[in-house]
Amino acid sequence: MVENFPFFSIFLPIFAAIFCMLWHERYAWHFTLGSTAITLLLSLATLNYIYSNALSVTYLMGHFPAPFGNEIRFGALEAFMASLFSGISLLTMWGGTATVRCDIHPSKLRFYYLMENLLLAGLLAIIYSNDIFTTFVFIEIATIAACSLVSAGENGRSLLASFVYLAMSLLGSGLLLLAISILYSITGHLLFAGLAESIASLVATGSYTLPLAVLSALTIAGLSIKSAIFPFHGWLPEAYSSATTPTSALLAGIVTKTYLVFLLKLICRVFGRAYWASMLLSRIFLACGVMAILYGSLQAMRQRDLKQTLSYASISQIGYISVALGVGTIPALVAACFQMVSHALSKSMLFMATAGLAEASQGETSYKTLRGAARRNPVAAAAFVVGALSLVGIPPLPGFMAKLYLAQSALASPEGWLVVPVILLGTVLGAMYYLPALATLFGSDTAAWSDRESAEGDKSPPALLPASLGVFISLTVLLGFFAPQVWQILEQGIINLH
Amino acid sequence: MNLFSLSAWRHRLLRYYPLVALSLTVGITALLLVTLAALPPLGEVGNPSHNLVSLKYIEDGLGDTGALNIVAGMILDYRAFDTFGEACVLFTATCAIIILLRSDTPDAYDTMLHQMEEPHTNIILQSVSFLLVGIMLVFGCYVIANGHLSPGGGFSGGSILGAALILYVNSYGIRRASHFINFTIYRRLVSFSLLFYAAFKGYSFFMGANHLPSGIPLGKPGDLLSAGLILPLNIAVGCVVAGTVYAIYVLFSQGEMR
Amino acid sequence: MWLYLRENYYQITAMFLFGIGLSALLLDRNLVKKLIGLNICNSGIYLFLAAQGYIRGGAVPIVADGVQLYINPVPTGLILTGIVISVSVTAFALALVVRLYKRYQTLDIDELSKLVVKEGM
Repeated sequence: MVENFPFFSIFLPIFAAIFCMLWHERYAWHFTLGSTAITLLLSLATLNYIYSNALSVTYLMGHFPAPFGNEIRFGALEAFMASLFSGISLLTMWGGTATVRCDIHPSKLRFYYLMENLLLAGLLAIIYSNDIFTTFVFIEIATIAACSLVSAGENGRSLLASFVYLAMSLLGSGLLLLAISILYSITGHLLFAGLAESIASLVATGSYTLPLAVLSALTIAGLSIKSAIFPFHGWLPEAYSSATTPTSALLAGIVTKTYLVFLLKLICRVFGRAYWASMLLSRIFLACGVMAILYGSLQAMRQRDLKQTLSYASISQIGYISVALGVGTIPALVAACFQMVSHALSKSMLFMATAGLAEASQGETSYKTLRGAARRNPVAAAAFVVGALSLVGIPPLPGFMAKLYLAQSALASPEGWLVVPVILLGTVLGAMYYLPALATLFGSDTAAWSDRESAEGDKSPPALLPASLGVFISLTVLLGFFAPQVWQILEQGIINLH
Repeated sequence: MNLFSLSAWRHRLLRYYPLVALSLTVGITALLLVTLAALPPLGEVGNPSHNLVSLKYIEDGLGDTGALNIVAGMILDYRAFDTFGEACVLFTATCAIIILLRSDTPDAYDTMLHQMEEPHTNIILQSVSFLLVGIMLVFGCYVIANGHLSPGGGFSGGSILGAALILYVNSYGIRRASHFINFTIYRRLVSFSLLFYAAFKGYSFFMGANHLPSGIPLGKPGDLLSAGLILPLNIAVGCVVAGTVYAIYVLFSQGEMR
Repeated sequence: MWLYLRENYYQITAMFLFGIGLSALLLDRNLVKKLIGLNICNSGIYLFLAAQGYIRGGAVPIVADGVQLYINPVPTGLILTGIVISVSVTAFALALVVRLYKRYQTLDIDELSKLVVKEGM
């Protein structure tokens, strides 16, 4: 029975989205909250079942087994990522209720929640799917839903940012589809199991080497555009800054990570770790990650708006994930997953804290208006401090554990001479851009705010945002303390991925 | 580090952007053409892509799915999850366009569009479409209903139905069209069709994954009422596509959907 | 070599279409022309995929009596999905363009960036 849960967790948000469309507007929030909460519970139950039995379950979607019909496949890694993504989606949706009601026009609110449901359904299907073309279709759903969430802000800046995000994302999808076509023409399979066998035999006999290399390059390029790895990061700062803050939390936390999870599944299940390690492409990917870490940190230091700083910091943190994927050994892949988990939690928490701080500062996020915001909203400031410390890498928070695991795995591989100094440099640079933000928040309050506080006290929003920030803080601290257990779960997941 | 030099460096680089983009495009096209030379040639029977998977679809397609149209059997039975995703893409895109384009309070731009689009006494258009719309609707329904027996199916039939509705709106105006298709009807049509597809195909997936027989009769091949769930799914997909095509047209031309 | 060109001109045309579409997407400053380039790009990919399914001497994949060889039905199904996706995302992108034009009365992407920055000040 538990094996049916992932299937339910993909279909349930889609049903919720259809109900949002059909029923009265005021129920949209309830449908979304309910379906995301049930999806979270189902994913946690699946994770418990899978991890305690060390399984990797293949679930047929239809009456025909692979390679003729569709199927989804899940092990510890997929179940963990699904639980994480539904949990973050629930917390950002729940905590961001008041902000979303302010920013989005009331008649469009039902469609906003509909898009959140469809986004979650698309991302879960990408994580669970075992077929390359199904993943492509659901990648398109996730792209449209994410761009639509960005554009729902309805100011000019979000429209242009959404267009740039959509155009670059569609270019990435086009490259991915071209890679799928070339892959189909040399193997004739679309499901991962058949593809893995065919590619292994092609590599062994040495036939079609140029098409294999070209299609891997196209796949990596397409997925890098969608996850904003260094040369293709252009859409990210504007998209995150101009969207409403709960949307930025959702995008920064889970959307870019899903494409990297798909890349991880391709490396382990389709190409094979040995083939990936032998390709020049993995070295180039590692180099792009190194440049992302440096470039993101340098740009983040120049920003004078909190959301822009967090966006460039995201580019830098995703660089760590691509460095780990480039190294390619099993400990490095597990470190990449751990960094994904830690960054997803911390970045979403930082954006939600920004929402809280902005709420107390007239809705603006520039450093000028945020001076002294810590005194106006202490819970949000505490969450911001925890998130910032985690991402800089202070023990015992999860960011430190992620960097430690990454450095340990890199030392055991030939690229350690490059990776370890870059991690240290990235940590130092990270402190350098978070410190001005923290200084601004805890700086001296300007006099004009104190009389404004009493005027806004009467229409205070419900305590959803502080409650969700509290849950975020406790999850981050728990992740830091239970890091070895989480490492075990992720390692079992990656070993069972092939 | 001199932070000022970073932005000046970017400005200097941006001047060379067209040259870089052009050389990148030419390079990628050349690389793809060279790759093409290494790929299997067109139309050979021994190509890797014509393997046991496609052979099974061709040989067992009729027996497993009951549909004469092997492609319809493939997309609505073997690989039905992809088609479900595709129907969701249509739904998502339409809702995204509704968020952007549907406004409750028309502004000056929308009023101008209204006045341009309302047909007054365009007698040629109205007489011709009086004949054509009915024929197009019947033809669309025929294509959807025969999707499992001949080329066609939900997507093509739905587009034909949508085109018929667009012709009607263009000839007779949105006010007359909103008597039988307005926002509420569109919402219910698309939602119920997608719900029907999700519920029935979900049932089929659930039964298949748990190795239970799904209990849906396959019928005699060649009959209209055959091929199990394929005919109802084609109708559902046809409704979604027709609704989507019509909604996109109305939202773009009228700026709203009453 | 000419024989190769004559036999495989579908795929070669598909790659040229991809290149032309990509150049329009990257080089043109008008938003609508970028979207046209994206569509041409996608059309090239679908043509390439369609060419993978063809078998010389094969019939359409509708079961009929007396037919020995059918073409490969899989790429046809994939293209069906792909074209629907292409239409949907183009419609969404054009809706964004309509909203941008209504707000700023220009379709040039450099002008739009400047206007957006000016509006934010």
